[in-house]
Amino acid sequence: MNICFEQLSKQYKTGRGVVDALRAFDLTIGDGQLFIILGPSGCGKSTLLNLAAGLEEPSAGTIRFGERVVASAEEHIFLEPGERNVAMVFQSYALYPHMKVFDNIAFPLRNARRKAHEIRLSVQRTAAMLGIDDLLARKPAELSGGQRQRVAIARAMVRQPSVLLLDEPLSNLDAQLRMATRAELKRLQMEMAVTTLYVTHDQTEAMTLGDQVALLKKGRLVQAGTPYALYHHPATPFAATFIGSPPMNLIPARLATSATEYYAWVNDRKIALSAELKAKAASLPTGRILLGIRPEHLRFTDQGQLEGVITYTESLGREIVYRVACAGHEVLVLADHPARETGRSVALAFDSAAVHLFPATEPADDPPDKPPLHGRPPRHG
Amino acid sequence: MTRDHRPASDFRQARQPARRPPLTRDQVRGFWFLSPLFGFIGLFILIPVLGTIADSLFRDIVYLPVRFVFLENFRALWADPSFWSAVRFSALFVLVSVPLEVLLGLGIALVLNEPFALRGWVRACILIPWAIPAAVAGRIFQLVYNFSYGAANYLLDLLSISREPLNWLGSDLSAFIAVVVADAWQTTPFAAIILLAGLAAIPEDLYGQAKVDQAGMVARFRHITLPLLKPVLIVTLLFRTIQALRIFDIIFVLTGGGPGGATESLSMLAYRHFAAGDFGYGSAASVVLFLMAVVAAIAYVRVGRFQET
Amino acid sequence: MNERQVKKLLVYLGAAATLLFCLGPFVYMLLTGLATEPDFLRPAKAFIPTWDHYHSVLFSETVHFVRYLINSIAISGISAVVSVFIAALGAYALTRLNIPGGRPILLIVLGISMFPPVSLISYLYKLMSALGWMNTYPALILPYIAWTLPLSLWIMVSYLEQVPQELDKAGLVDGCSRLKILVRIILPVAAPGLFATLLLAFIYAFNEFLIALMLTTDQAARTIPVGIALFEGLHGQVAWGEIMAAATVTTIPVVLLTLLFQRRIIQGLTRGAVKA
Repeated sequence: MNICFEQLSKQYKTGRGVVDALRAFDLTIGDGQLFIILGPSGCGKSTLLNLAAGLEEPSAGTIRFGERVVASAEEHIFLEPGERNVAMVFQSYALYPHMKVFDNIAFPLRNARRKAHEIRLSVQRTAAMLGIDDLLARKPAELSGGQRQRVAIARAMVRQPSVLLLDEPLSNLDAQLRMATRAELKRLQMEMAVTTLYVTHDQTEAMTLGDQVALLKKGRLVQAGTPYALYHHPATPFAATFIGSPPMNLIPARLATSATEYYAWVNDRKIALSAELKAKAASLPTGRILLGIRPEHLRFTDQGQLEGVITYTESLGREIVYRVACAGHEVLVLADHPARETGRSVALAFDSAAVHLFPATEPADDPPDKPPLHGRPPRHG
Repeated sequence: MTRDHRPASDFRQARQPARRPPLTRDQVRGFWFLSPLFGFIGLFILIPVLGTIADSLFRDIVYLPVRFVFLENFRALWADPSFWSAVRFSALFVLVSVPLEVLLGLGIALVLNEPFALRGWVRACILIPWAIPAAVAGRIFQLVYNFSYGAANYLLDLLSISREPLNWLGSDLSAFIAVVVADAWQTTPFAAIILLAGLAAIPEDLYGQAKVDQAGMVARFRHITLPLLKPVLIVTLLFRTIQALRIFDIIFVLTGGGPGGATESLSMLAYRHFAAGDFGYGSAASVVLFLMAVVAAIAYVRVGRFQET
Repeated sequence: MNERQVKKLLVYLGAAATLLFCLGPFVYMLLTGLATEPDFLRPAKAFIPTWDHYHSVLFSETVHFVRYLINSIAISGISAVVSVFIAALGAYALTRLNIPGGRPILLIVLGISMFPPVSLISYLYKLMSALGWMNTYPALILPYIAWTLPLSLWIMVSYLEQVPQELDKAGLVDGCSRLKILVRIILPVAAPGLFATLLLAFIYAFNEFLIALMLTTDQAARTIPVGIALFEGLHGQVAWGEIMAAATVTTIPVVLLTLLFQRRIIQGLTRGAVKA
């Protein structure tokens, strides 16, 4: 069943005035897709999930599940969560602490007034699928984090929902378990072929898990597409820095044209733009732009397009992140060993095909963004 | 699958096609959930209070025709020495018993806030006076103050304060003291428990830091405990004031308002007139008490809100 | 002596004084109920224990203490259960359903709880007389429900605030109505709080005096505090032994409940009052 959001808006009245959690949001999610809703905290991703679940009413716009309108502010249609055949997995799992695991999983079926033997069969089958069939007699408090998570997933899956909603389901797990569960979630989702909305702030999760990713910022859709498309063709500087770790370098530059070619000037260095970028460059006004280059696309050479001094290094184990002071700007470089010590002058080279161009200001009506909250660890020194 | 609110939303759609409903479905449901609460409080508290206020404007005595007299009852109250005696008693009682109870309560709370063996048991025991009905407490103290064989005179003798037994409930001053002590026994635990919660909320680190800064026990109490406890202290004072204003049960049982009306509170005065069938006059007296309680309640709510910000 | 020792001494002295102050009159009540004569403190007299007073309180036809006690338990029990359920509904609305003006509602209810009961009783008297309900259970139960509601509401709000909102969301998604979420999920999770509220509402109703004094006339509905307050004895002299035996019978259950659940009661009381 596909999901369609049309001109969806949600406003909250708070003590300090009206907050737009979601503004004129349009998105279509294909049948059976695992669709990631990605964004920093406060971007409206959880609101979107709550609207899809029916936990909140939209201020404007329409939500469609397949052909059925489940919520429309304009037409005064609103289906309760129980009438939408949605299932949800919460960040805290929200298991009912007073019920045994069996009763937790059976709860939605009992509410749907299924027959007792049918409930027993469904619960046991789902529990077996998730490997928790030996925990059915326990209370949630007696389970580990990972086990609770499985129970939450089982409770969501057991009624074979037409839409599955996941709200940061992995963020309460430790790193190792998260990797394993990620793979398993993907497998389960494909087996059940259920249309899934998956909310996360973790871009790695989004990249590895999603069929499609929608990136949100301040209640607006920034970009939607495959992880590949978002990584390789970010639409805005925000998308460019939010996705990928360490984040893409955005170097202020000037765009110039000659009779036949486009150039970018970084201070007094002239950088030729590749053929593919010319169309993009043509759409930008000449003058101030941002030149985007991913740290992994920069390499140290003897003679390159940029020169600078290493100010700081940080080992990631296999690779090293360098900070290079370069033409009055700090550039991140991701490179293999051997390590280069700080203070050394280096030259940086890159393929002109790896360059992205952005207008100097963000297209949204908001002031330029602070560095993304996630994707770059805080640094000292 | 379809539940009762679906037709309701369709109905709303038909009635007002363009406008958004002013309340969300949850809010509408919320008011339904609150309606029994509003219903009970309205029917059995608000309407009776309004009825009493209305009644205070009538001459309403059993077996006599009811007549609207406007403020006549209040004028009569103003001229009634027993009314002024009750006002004086209530004011004195609040002024003496409330600070006494809060001080005693603070002392108990300070003790119970320190770790010592059997602390849990002591804390449980202070709840006993609170749990006993005030009317029963009144009875117990009636026996305590018994002239011939009560515990109060026994104690006077034992502590060599007075060989002569005192007729506790026979003189104005000793009856007043008797009421204050009995009430303190009943209500100090409540003050202690509230203050104990306030003390427990003061971060332990502050005391550690003060010790590092070489502040002594008294200095720590003055500069950390008292200022940080102040909001809770004020709330306790106000709460106890409101309860002390309306005191009835203990006095009714212990002194019956005597001797000669010396310990008659406003509640007692109003009740006496109700019991005698004079509803208009009794209502006027309770309206006066009600207004005093409202002033104190507003103060309480104000302070409560102030604390939050 | 150093400061630590002084403090320790003060604490133990204070604890002893507290115990003496709180338990003294209570023990006096127990002893008098068990003494043949109430004058056992006089120099020449001795304490001679007896069960006679208990016997006459529990089995005598002419005093109605047992009936009063049954009335009290039934009236307070029913009032507390209804009050707590209504309060739970209200608290659910106030903590979950984004009621506009939720905070003012709570404050107004708190203010109402401070009305002096004497300003209600004349009207309640007229109302119950008009309905022909004087001296019946409903005459007390209905006002008691209203009377305990502010307390119940405040305590329930403070407990329901602590139950994670995601449980409600999970319940909604799992196909529950709001009422079912409250009854099947939130209340079981908040069961300790529910129990504390029930206990406090029961004790408040059980100890109420003025309304019961005004609206009852005899053992048909009279509650035990009124019964004990008005008991004058059969032979002219005040029957202290019987009164204290009755007082003991009355207070022992409440005191036991209080001692057993002191933690919950203290928690409930402080939440109701400090959180204002």
